[in-house]
Amino acid sequence: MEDQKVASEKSILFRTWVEEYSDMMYNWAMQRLSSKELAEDLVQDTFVAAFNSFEKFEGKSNPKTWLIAILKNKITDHYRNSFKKPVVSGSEFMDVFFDENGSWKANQRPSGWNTDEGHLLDNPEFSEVLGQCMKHLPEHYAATLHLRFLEEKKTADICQELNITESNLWQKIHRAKIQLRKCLEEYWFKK
Amino acid sequence: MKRLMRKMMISCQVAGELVTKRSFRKLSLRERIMLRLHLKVCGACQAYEKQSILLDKILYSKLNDKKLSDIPYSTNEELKKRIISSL
Repeated sequence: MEDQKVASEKSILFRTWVEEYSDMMYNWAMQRLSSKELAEDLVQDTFVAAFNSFEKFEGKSNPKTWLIAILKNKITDHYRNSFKKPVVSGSEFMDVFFDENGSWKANQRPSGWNTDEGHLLDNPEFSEVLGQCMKHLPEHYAATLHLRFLEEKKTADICQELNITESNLWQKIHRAKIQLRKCLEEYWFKK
Repeated sequence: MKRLMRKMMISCQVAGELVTKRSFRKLSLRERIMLRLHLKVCGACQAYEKQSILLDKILYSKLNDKKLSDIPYSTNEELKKRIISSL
């Protein structure tokens, strides 16, 4: 009898949490992931995990903080798992940008961007283009950028999480940036 | 001297990797010299270097700067129903 009462209290509490926090969590996840479906799945997984480990919570922290911490772990897990999937080999990828001597191909050569930096960071349209460009990065590259720039994790921690060497990490970030640079040039700076 | 110069000349691809590596750790003396020599003669890589530094700043502020993260806030009622029925 007592158990049943506790269980239904927990259910009611979670309903209010879903009402109160799921939109915020969904938007938070959308900023960090490539698709709506993935963001929805991970927010749902977060609530399920929170529900199943409720005894660990015990009201010690703010529920919002606790849920976001779980969601953050789910996103990191997702990126870590994406590293286990096969991927286009790095050298093939770089062939798009560089010739056999390692020089920029004529149509890929970076030229000066006409830009006012401060203005750029304030511009919501630029933010939108940047978001779109990031969504088009291969998962592997998005993962390294996410951990490096959005979570501001230390190099050693990222390498450990993704199980790669440090030189492998900066090569991946370099490739991600080359592709991002190209996309921003195409859709923002040329316009 | 010519042979030494040839040894120290690197490709655009390697120069770009060094620019990124530099944001992670201090380059060795040899790497610093190789990069500086390359950048002296390569306009495309000079442009890339500037853009790479700008990209780092942009990526850092993408989520830390409120103005940039001011994305439209969307609600998702479907998701709420889905979560509640899965608990």
